[in-house]
Amino acid sequence: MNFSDECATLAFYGIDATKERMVVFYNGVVELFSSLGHPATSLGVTGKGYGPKLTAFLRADNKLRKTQFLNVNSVSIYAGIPGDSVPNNQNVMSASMDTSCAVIVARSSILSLQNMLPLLAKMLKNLNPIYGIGYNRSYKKGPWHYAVGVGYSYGIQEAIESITGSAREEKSRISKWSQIGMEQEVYRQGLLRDVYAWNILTAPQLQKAVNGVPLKNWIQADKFRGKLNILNDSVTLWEVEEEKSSEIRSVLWDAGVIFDWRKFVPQHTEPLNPDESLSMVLDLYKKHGVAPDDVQVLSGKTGKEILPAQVKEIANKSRKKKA
Amino acid sequence: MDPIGTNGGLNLYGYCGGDPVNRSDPMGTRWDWVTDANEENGGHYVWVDSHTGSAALDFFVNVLGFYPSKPTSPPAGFVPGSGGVSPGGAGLPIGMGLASGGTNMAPGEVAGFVHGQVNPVVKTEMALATLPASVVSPLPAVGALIGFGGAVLHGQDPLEGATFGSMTAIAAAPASGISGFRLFLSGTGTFFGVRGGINDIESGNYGGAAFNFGLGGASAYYGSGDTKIFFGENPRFNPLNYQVTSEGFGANFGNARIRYVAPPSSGLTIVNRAGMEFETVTDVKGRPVKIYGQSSSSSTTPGHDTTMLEYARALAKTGDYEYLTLQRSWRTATGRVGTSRAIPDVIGVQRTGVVDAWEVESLTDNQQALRSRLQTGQSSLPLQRQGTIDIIQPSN
Repeated sequence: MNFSDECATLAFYGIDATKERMVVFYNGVVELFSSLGHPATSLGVTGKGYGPKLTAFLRADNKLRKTQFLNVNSVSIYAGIPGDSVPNNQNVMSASMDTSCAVIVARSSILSLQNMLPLLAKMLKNLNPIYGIGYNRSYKKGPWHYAVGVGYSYGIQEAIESITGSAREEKSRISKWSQIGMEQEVYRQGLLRDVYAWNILTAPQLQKAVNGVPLKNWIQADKFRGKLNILNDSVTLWEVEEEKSSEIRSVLWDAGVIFDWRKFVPQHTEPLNPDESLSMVLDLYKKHGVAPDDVQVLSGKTGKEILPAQVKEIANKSRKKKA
Repeated sequence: MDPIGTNGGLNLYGYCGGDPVNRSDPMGTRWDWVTDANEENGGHYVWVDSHTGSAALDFFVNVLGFYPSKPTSPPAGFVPGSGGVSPGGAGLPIGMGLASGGTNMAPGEVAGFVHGQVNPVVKTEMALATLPASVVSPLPAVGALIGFGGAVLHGQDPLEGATFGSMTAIAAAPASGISGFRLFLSGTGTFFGVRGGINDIESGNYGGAAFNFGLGGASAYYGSGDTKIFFGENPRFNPLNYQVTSEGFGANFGNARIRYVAPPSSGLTIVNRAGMEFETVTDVKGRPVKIYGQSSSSSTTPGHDTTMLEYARALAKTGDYEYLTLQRSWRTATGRVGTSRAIPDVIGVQRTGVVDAWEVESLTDNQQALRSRLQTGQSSLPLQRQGTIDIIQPSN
């Protein structure tokens, strides 16, 4: 059987992760997989009394039910290809839930994002998330990993190619989502992880200001900005067409609505370039009564004096740039 | 050490950009690369040249008032050509204490300062810990201050608490020592100097002290006609290890220069044990990058171990990493800066101090468990050190 490379993914953050809700999630996913003709084949559980490896579904399911999810921190349910042992992300469907998020991934040929709307409604009712996203991503790019904030490399070659450049940047952003975004629950401050095909928004995000107006109003002000679909009392689905997402992203980034991890890491000091360094030191002197003309500036490279006029020019240029 | 003593900033290594291994400043006015020694030498100091140390004492005498009256000539320990430490000026005993274990001094060097630089962390910590009160009083720890500066400079990452903790303790020291220590700490160019002396001066964040010193030095000596700024090339400050890489800029407040440059270094050290070194890879800049640990795991997934090793080698070659580990805990790989005992397949310590980690997945791995292992490990590091976490599907 052939499956699409592309996977539809739903991810929910800021969820009610009680044991009862985890049981509902688990049962719902197991039922969903079966109803789509791909029953769960393996199960991963973390928590006291469970190992780090996957177990055949029936055996693990039996234990879970017997122990009534006692000491369970997370569940991961996989629907694999019967009789075929493949890496996890090549399974046809998977779902996981822990205290930080819940994720459902399905090959689009089995369950497309558009067809996930009823599933989304069910999930919202059970999980009561603060924020969520829905997107399409190839299994080779680790759709589940993306959701939980871990980079994924499909083989050593890709891993090596992503050591540098934009691929590395992307992996860094993915990691920062878990390290900072999820850890600090930035979505409660109204921040979006990015702009996705589906953006599952609640009050903090909808009220976040974009150029002086709440995000909700900003979206409604222009059809280009996508469609809002109220799903229940607290959750609104914002659908964005792929070709428009880049422009929207740009505006929201500038408005500070999209999560920028750099703002969350203490930046003790930004690197100074030589011009800025000189300018700053001259300013410090000036503050303490030493005129720039009285300061002799030597080139750190050659040791030779830099003429006062040149010093002034460098410093002024740097000040202007800063301003 | 700085040929013009603490006039050049209480960071006595700032004179050569914090990099006396590679640089010299024989005339006390400029520096040049002495040798293109590799960057792994960061933290080891070799005396290069000097011609005066007297200004240092002047600074302490005039500015801090540690002496009842200004001496007419500098004490022996600071005099060039004195042959090292001698029981000279009253303010020097502690400095001599630091110097006493020194073996790297050559005749003519400014002994009181030198040894503190050779192995700053150990020497300084010992010195500070063992300072008898009788030595500290009535002249508060001039020498120790200098040694301590050395320690801070390249010894420890203040983010991790040890050094910072010491400083806090010092700041709370008896009144007689406070100003001296504070001034010294602030003037310790590469720690509070770089941090405070450049950007944080404005905010007063730690830099209150730095500010005091830098400008104190400036005002004390301004008017001598020696006010200079050294305008270097591309200073890049790394907030993780408090070092400035590339060419630095420096300011000469009066004679008080503050020039910073240090070799790029993560500020982390592996907890190395016998036999742990696996291999050394030469990176794109020709530097040796060590890979520690072991490449054979218990995984039965085809390609798991070769992927792990091949990837670590590829990372080592990039020039971004100071060292890597294979199947070593976060604690071990980061010298206990990271506290997690989880063992990812590969950990890479970048020269910037950021730590990355990878797991090579096995067919039977529960990905939640892999993820948890990576995230738990990363979160045991300070936020600024947390790099990427990544799962790799092995090649068959």
